[in-house]
Amino acid sequence: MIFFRNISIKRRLTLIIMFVSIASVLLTTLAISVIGYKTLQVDLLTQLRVSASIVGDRNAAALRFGQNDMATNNLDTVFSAQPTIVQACLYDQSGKTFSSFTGKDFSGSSCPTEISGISGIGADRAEVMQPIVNAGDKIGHIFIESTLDQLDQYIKKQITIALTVASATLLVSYLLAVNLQHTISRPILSLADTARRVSIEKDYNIRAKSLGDVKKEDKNELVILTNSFNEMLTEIGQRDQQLKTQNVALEKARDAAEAANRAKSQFLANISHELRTPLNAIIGFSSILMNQLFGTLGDPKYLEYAKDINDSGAHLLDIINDILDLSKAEAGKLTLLYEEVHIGKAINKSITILSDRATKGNVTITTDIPKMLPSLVVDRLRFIQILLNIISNAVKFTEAGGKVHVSVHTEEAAGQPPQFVITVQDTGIGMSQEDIDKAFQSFGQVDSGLNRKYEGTGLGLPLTKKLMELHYGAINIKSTLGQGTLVTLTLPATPPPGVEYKAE
Amino acid sequence: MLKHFAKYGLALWLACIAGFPQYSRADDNKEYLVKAAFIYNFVKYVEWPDAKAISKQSHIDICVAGSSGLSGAGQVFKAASTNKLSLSLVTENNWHDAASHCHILFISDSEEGKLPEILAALKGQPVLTVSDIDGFVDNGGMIGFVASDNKIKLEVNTKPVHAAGMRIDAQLLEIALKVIDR
Repeated sequence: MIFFRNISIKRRLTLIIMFVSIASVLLTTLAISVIGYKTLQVDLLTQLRVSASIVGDRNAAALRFGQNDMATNNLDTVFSAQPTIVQACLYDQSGKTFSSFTGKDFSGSSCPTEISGISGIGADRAEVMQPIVNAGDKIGHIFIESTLDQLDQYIKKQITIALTVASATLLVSYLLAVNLQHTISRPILSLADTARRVSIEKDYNIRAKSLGDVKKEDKNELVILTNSFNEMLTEIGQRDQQLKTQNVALEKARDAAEAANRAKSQFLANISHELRTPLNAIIGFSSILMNQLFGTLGDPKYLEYAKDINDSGAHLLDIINDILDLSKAEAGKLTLLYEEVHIGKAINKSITILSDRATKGNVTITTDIPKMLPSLVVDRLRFIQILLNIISNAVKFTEAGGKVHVSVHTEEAAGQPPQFVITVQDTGIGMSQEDIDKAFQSFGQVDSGLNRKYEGTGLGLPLTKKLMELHYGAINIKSTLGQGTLVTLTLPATPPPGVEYKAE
Repeated sequence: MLKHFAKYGLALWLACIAGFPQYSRADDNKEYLVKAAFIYNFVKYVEWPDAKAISKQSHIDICVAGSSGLSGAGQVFKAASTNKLSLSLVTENNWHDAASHCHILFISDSEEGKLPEILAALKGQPVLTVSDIDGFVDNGGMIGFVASDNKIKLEVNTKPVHAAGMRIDAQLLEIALKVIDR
């Protein structure tokens, strides 16, 4: 069967059908031949016995009256036309040879001298020895010996027939097999072809040609196979698609996680730097003071140094507060204490706090606050923190002689809930879009480094954005370099659902 | 057992005679034993009309006319007798009597001169006439013994046989040296 391994199913089916056909023809012929041969052996013996009886009876008178020349004539007449008869012998009552016939091709033969032996078929001869009974008297014996030519001819004929039929069968079964094997091979080949195409093209939309719908009682395994194969392809295709989607999602998640990780690392590095800078100043100036490097205490320089130490400490505290707030906000642990706040009052309070710095920088702060404004529900301290942050930034980045304008109004766009809009417009240095993006990152100060011109923790805007988001609001910055900045804060006019707040 | 032995013994004995049909004129006794065996065998190849049919007989007479060696062969027929059919050799010189009780009449060569008379007397009678007289069948006899190649051969004339309402089996005619049938 090794021979079978590497040939196509088409040829295999054809060969199987042909083998089976030939085998059945040969076996049938063999069986018929064996049965025929046996029957023919029996027939041959029967024929010889019948011949012996007839010839014996016919020669009864010759035997009784001792006319052996007549008997010889008789034997000649009967047997000379039968080429398969080797010899025929008549024996009288005493068992002596009475007369005989010898076939012309068997001149060497001679009659057995004794009346014995059983009738039967030997290697190449059939023999019959039987008594001649006439009118109740046993008057002698007859012996007939014949060749097995009849049997040999039968075998030859059978072989010829078998070979002829086998050849015809070979041809017919080949033609039938070639035409019938399609019903089995075609679906399988189609499946194999489909499977190959799918594996090469990686296209799970290819389908094997269906042989029909599977019915419950369907016994055609090929139909079931084809349909199952197609179902499998559909499932693989779906899974493939699902996997791709999941992969994309996972990649995004991975990228986000990596970005977050990078941001944390950056954040940590920035914190270290930001914390170290004021600490260096504190340690440096306090060391000067401690060692009285510029003479005894009382020198006006020391006052300046003490102020530097104080500033640095305050700055450090700001930074740490901002970090704590930011990390609290990011960890979701910043809880807001909602209460009704008068928005105008809150703005004015913020401006009052910053007025010193504005005066120092020669920046004018103007406001446009409508008299009748509904109160806002927010965390008062955090809201003022937001306002301080935005307005102080505006003051900080506005050159001397510049202006900062703060205004409030309510807005009610169609289909949107009403909201407060607070804008802070300055005439400062402005920012590019890149700068704006950077400003919302932690420690993303536009001008970083030791000798930066503008102070700040670099956490103000990120923290403001976080706080706005916690209030369900948003912050938006629009700016052009050198042409000032517009910061827009929007907050929902109605308190967030489910929030308990203190009335004013 | 005894009967069986007797029959087998006779068969063997007859076979010995028949198996060696060669004889010489000098050995008359042996020649007539063979002829007696032949005559016994005629019973099996000849059919007599109803009144004399063998199947209806329990005894038949084989008659001898005149004197010859056959007269001394009575033992042959005695030995050949069975329960069903006994045979006896009877001398009969009255031809009219012969017609009534003989199945077979052997005419010895001593009666050659009376042959026309005998055959005339038996004409149309169901008696098988047998003789070794020369030209027996040509003169109206039924079965004649002739010597040929040192063997006893048969000649048959079926005309008187048929005229007497008898029949001779074809096998007997087949082995006959000469058959006159018209």
